Order: sequence, then structure tokens, then C-alpha cells
Amino acid sequence: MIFKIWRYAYGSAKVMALKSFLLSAADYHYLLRARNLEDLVGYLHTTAYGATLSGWNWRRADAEAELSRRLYGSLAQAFLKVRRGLKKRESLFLGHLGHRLEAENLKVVLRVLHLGLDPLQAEPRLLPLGTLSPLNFSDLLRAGTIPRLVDALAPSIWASPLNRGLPRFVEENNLFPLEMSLDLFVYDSLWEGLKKLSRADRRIAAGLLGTLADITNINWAGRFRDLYGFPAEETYQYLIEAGSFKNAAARRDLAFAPNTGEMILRLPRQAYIDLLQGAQDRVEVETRLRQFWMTTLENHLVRPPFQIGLSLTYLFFKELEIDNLITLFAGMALNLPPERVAPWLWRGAAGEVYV
Amino acid sequence: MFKAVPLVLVNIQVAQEEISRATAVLTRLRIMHLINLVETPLGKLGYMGELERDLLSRYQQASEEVDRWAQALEIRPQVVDIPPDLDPAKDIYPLEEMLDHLRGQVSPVLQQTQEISEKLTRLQEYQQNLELVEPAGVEPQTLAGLRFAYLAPGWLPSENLLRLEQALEHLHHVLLPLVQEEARVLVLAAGLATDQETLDRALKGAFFEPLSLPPTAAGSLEKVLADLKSQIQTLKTSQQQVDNQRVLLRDRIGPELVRLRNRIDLIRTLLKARVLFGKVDRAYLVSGWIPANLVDQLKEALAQELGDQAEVEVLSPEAIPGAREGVLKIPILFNNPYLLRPFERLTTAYGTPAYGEVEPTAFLAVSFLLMFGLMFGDVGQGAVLFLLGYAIFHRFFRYTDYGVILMECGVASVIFGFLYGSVFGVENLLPALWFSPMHNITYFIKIAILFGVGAISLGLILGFINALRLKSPRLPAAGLLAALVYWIIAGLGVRYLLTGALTWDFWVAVGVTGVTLLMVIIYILQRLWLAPPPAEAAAEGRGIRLLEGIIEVVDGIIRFVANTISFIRIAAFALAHAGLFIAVFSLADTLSRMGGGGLVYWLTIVFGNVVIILLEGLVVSIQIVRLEYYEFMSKFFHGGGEAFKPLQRGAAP
Repeated sequence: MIFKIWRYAYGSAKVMALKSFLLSAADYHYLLRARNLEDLVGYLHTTAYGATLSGWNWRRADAEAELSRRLYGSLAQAFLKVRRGLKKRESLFLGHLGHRLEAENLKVVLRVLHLGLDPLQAEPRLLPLGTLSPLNFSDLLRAGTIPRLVDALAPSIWASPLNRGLPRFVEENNLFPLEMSLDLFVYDSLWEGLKKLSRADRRIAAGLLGTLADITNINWAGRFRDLYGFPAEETYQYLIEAGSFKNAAARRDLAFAPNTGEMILRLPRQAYIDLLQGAQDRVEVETRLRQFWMTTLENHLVRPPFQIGLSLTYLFFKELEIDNLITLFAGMALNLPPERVAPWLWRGAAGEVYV
Repeated sequence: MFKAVPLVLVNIQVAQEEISRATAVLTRLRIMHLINLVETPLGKLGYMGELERDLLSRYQQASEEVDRWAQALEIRPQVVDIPPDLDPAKDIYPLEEMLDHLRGQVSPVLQQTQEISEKLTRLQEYQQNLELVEPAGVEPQTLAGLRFAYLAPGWLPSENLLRLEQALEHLHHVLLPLVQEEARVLVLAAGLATDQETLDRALKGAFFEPLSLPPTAAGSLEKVLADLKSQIQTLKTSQQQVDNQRVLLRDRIGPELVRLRNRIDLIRTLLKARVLFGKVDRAYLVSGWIPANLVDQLKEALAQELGDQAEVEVLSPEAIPGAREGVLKIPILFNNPYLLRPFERLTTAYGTPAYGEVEPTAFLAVSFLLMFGLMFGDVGQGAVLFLLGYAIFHRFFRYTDYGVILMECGVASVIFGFLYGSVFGVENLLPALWFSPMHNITYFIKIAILFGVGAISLGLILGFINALRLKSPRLPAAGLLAALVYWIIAGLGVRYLLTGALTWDFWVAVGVTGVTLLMVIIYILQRLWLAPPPAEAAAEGRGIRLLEGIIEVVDGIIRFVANTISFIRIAAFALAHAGLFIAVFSLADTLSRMGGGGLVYWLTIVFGNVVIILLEGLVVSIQIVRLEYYEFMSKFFHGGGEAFKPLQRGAAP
């Protein structure tokens, strides 16, 4: 225990301090009640997002992209702050988690190259990752074509997943194989990163990431079946081998389920079956899983602070908070009433967003 | 040398019909750093930049096409003079007509080349793939004639093989691994023809890459391979013929393509530059900075090309309100002799000096070489560095600057090598003209401290010069006082280092300087107390200002003294250099005694010297850069300037 306290004393204190800057339920209450965009921005200026939004002009044509860039920039900053507070081993693991953001930027680059968009105009769409990523995404936007991009990334970790998807992209002229390959690589990398942690931390992180992998698998299986019409044999290839689905039989049951009801009954954990029992369609399944993810994070947040779970939970919360803010802005732009926006926010078990 | 080249602002006013020729003159002369008129007060008077996006895009397309042809015909980039009779708006029509004409000649040859090349690649791939599946006994005709079964050979990422097996568990299938290659495996997938669609989707999901085989192959595998080889041979012959045609075409249209390429390049530069120009009705105003001594050359060139059609106005920076107030940035054009020019890279890596500020490259270069010599003094190793630098200078055009720096470091090292009497670490070949570092450690530390006092003092003096030159509202009083105290401490310290004795006259000197200093401090305090405080400090009150001033002075003194002590690393690294030599000689001696003999001895000496040159050379350079940046330049350098970038062909302004 003393060893753990020594290892996490500074990092955890830092995360606790950062956590106090997250938006509270009261903040969300006022944000939802904002009458117009000016009101919304005005309130956010009174929170920790004041500096992030300083100088942002919502009347400009690229305001939406700029907002997303700034908000995700604050997430990257949070990542860096948390990483700096941790010892090398834990910090390296968070680096693996940061690959998720790198992959998002790579997807932007892929889309820009695929659609032949102007790199200069696309640049604001990139998340400003700073030192979180060694890649120069602005240069990558100017690679010209996707095969050239893959060549340019040859010395990086991203060469392998992109090379895997490239032949299919060339054949089908569709970004799906490349994007899927990136996503699968990110999860593989996370699992690889777990090996670097101490046994106790590995257990905590694996629990958290396992739940995330389970939710992702259930959501993906539903989308591939109902939206994309993939055969089960193909869906099976895209499922993440982690969490409750580490077992091949569990993945096969999920992939080969003919509909939502059958899929729920075949889930490998009773907790998931109870949670999703009675869900009529894929959308309802996804909504309940969102709720479950929030509850899982909340449960992790009340555990003793001297472990990796605190940092992970904070970063996931921060990510969800940014998701919420973008939803709020989108709702405002579409003139949606608060009662239509609220269900799309990530909300805590107590009915609030989180506490 | 200590100041950037004096610049003047030139405004050139020309009619719309003459702007292309005027820009062509500026592009050829390469002496004008354009400023964006829209961002100056003239922008408010209605002068607007002009971005002809459509026209630029047509030239861009033409440029890409000509570049593609030049690359395919292997025509090297070449700069040729283009007459300045350019009119982008009109020139595009004859240019596109000319491109149509050339396209008729180039396209068939290029298309033929590409078709043959693609076909050849495909056939070679077929041959290679058939050779890969040969051990499995898969005959192309069997694959083509299957009715109830489905066979698909292809590459699969190794880690997905098991996953694919699991996905296909309920289907009748066979996955036969044939060849393992790094992270992928060549697999022959087989199943029922009725399951083909499902099998294909599962294979896709596993990132399976089908092996391409000849689609209409008939006969045995040997026969198909023999056919392929014969087709490949025929294609190679055709390729040779097309290559000959390509060479003939290059000889015929090459010069014209080079001329077109240069013309398009110049027009594109011109169109891009126009964004920075100001235009009102049919008149253009071009504004930019040029070296003051080249004004006549510019006027002469414009008069020669345009007669009296260009109105030129020359303004000195002092006469421009924006420049005076620092709103309009004046670019910096370095003015150093050839041998010091490579060190400009070190200066700009730290920052670009502001116009009017002391240009530190000369100080930086001289102190860099002195410190390098002091730390790395050895005749033999210096000569090696010089030769290495010469080789880079001579062979690698892009790295000429680094070659020159290395040669100069080599010379400094040789000079100090003679002063230390060291040749590849051997100290008894030459007499030491000054001293031997290993035998005079205390003396060397004193030298290093003296060097540090000199460098810090120079930095402080340059700081005061900059404050005067940049017309700071007032001199930093705390900095002056801290410098004064520092110099008194340094003077007493130097006196002690030179005499090594604390005799009665030393204490008299301490007493006199102490009293003088006290009087100066009282005088300054009295002035500060009596003078009306500046507006921004009025709210703070005199007490706070006084306290801040004292803290600033004490902080300054501590920093200056610490910075001086930091220079001891010069002696430390010189001693480390000599120490490494001793280690290399001891190692060589031990190895030769252990049975290696003379050959091992000399091999160790050579290897040791190589390691010292590479490792110690790098470490010494890093330490010098650190001393330059943190101890020396931080005392006076303001930066924030902008580099002088003249308008020239190919470079977007």
C-alpha cells in the first residue's frame, strides 16, 4: 500500500484537482436552459472552458470545426497533464490510450485524401494533439493520395494497420477497411499496453477497458448486422477479442445472432442480459449501454485513488464531457428544445450528468 | 557585420499593363521583400490585393501536366531566362494551345509506355504468383473449371488465420497455408460454390488479399508459365522500342518543354505575388523592403524595362510612422562575411533579431570557435575534423554550411592543439606553446572563469546597446546596477585569481569599491524616491517599487555570477577530452599486453580516436550551444524579427 501511495500520490492529487474542474450537474442544468448560443458560450466562460473558448467566434463559417478543435485540444491537454503526473510505466500505458485520438486524426486525414479536399481547409478539422502524437498531421494532409500517406507513415506504428487495409481500399475504393483496421489496432495496442502495468493496476484497467470493449462489440455487432447488412462471418472478424468477448464462442454467438432480441439472450454475462432485457431495437440497446458505461465509470471513481483507474476514469469522463458540449452546441444550432437534447447527453446514475 | 543590412521601403506605382513586366524585373533581381499592402494603412485607402483563383488554377494544371511530361521524358529541371513580356491573362491562351499541340505528340508515347509497363508488371505478378502456388499443385485450368467448389488463393495477416477458422466453423471449408512470409501467410481457401459469397465476405473481413492469377489460363501449369515467359519477353522488346521513341521525342520537344516550364513558373510567381500588391482602378502599387545600396540598381532595371512608366518612391524606416512605432515589421537581411555566414543558422535557431538590434552572429561565431578550440584542442583530431568538413563542403551541396562550420572548428582545434602540445592525445610529440590541460587544472579553471566573465560582460554591454538602439523608453536601472555590482565582484575575483593572495591592498580595494557602490545605490534610490513614478507604477506605491527593484538587482547579481561559474564546463570538458585519451591509451596498452600485439594496440588507438571525435565532438558542441544560448545571448537578444525573403521565381511570397 505504501508503495502504491508513493507511486500515485502526486498523480492522483493532480487528477483529483483536474476532476474538480469537470462540469457539475448544476452546470449542465444552466447549459440546457441557455436561450441562445451567446448565452451558452457566456455560461461556459464561467467554467473551466473559459480559456478554451476565449476568442472563439460562433458567427464565423468554420465555427463548428474550430469549436471541436478547441474542445478536443483541451482533452489532449488533459491527457498530457495526467501523463506528466504519473510514473513512467503508467504514463506509457496512457500513451496507448492516446492512440485513440491519433487514430481519429488519421481518419480525418484519410477522409480528406479520399475526397480530395483542400488540406488548408481541412486542417481545422484535425484535433490539436500537441506532444501527445509524434505525427505531423498537417504534413500528412498533403500526402496527395492514400497509398502515399501509408508510405509516409512507414516508420510509425500505424504502418501495419494501414497496410492491412490498403489492398481492400484499393479494390473497393471505400475507407471502411482502413478505418476498421485502425480501430482494431487501437484496441490491440491498448491490450498490449496493459502488459506493462503492475498486476493490481492491470486488473483494474482491464476491467474498465474490458467493459468498454464489451460495449463497443455489442454496438458494432448491432450496427454491422442491422445497418450495413454484413454476413455474420464478416462481422465476426471485426469483433474485439477482449473483455467478456475474449472467448471465441462468445464472439461467435454475438456475430451470428440473427436479431437484437436473440443477441441479448446470447450475451456472455447475466448483467448485460438483465440490462438489455426488453430492448426493442439497436438504438435502445445503445442508449442503455451508454447509461451502463456512465455507471461503470462512476463506480470506478469512488474507489481508493492510488491506482491507474482514477486517471483512466477522469480521462473517459473528460471525453464524454466534450461529447456532451458538442451535443449541446449542435442542439442549439438546430434550435432543439432542452428536453430533446438532454437524452443525448451522457448522464450519471442519479439522473444527473455526473457528480 | 554587427548590424543587419540597412533597408529602405520602396513603393513602385505602375499601370496595369506594365505590372507583369515590373514583377518580372523584381523576380529577376531577387532583392525585394514584399509587404502585404492590404495590411498597411494603404489597405484602408482602397488598395486591394488580387487573387485570380481561376487563372492560377489553369496555370497550376498546365504546370502539373508539363512537370508530368518532363518527368516521364526524363528532362531535368533547368533555369532559363524568360523575357519579361508576360501577361498572365493573355498568355494562358497560346500556352494552352501549345500544350494541346504537344499533347498530341507526347500522350501516345506516354500512354504506350504506361500500358506496356502495366501489362508487364501484371504478367510478372502472374508468373510470381503461379510459382508460389505451384507446390500445392493448383492448376489454373482446374481453378477456372470448378462448378461445385470454390478455391481462392491469397495472402492473409498471420494473426487472422485462427480467427477466420473460427468464423467459418459451421461452413464446409479448408484453409491451406502454403507460404509464410513475415507477418502474412499465403493461404488456399476452399469451400462449396454455394457458399462463395459468405466465404468471400469472411475473407474480406479478415483482410484477405486475393492472389491475382491469369484469368483465362488454359493448359497445365508448366505450359501457362512458359506462355507467360514468352509474353513477357515480347513485351520487353516492345518496351525497348517505345523507349527509343521516347528518347527521340525528348530530343525534339525537350527545349520547348524547358522553356514552357520556366515561363509557367514565372507567371505563377507573378500571380501569387499580386495578392500582396495593391490595386486601385488600373494602377498597381508594389511595396517592399530592399537593401538601401541596391536602390539605384532597381531604378535602373525598371527604367530599362519600363522607361518612365514606373514611379518609384524610396522611404527610409525613420520616415515611416508604422515602422517607427514597430507596427510595420522591417525584415532582417544578415550581413556577415562568408566564413561567418554558416553561423547565422545558430542565430536564427534561437530567434530572428529585430531590425536595429545588434546582430549577434559574429560574436556567436568567434566565441563558438574559441570555446570549441579550448575544449577540443588537438592537432590530429582538428585536422580530421577539417578534412571531414571539407569532404562535406565539397560533396554535399545541401550541407555546405555544416561543412564550413566543421572546417572552422577543425582549424580552431588545430590551433589549440599546438597551444596544448597535443596530437591525437600524444603530448610528447610537440612542445606545448601555452600549457597542458591535464597538468594545469587550476590554471585552466581560472581561464574558463575569465572567459565567462568576458562573455557575460559582453552580453550585458550588448544588452545596453540594444536598449539604446531600440529606443526603449528607459534603460533597465536594475540591470545596470546588477551589472555594476557584478563587474565589481568580477574585478575583485579576477584580481584574486591572478595574484592568488588576499593582501591588505586587496581589502582596501574591496572597501573602496564597497563605499563607491553604496554611494551609487544611495544616489539611485534618492532619484527613484524623488522622481514622480511612471503612470503604470503609480498605483503600486514607492515601497513596492523599491522592494521589486532590490529583488531584481539581487536576482540579477546571483544569475550573472551563476552564469559565470557555468563557464567552468569549458575546463571540465577539455579535461574530459584529455582524460578520454588517457583511457584509450591505457586500454590499448592493456589489450596489446594481453596478447593482441601491436596491431591491436593501433586498432584500439584508431577506434578510440574515432569514438572521441564523434562522441566528445558532439557533447562539446551541445555544451557550447548551451553556453551561447543560455548564458550569453539571453543577456541581450530580443528577437521577434522577420527574415528577409526576396521575391523570386518559384517561391510563393
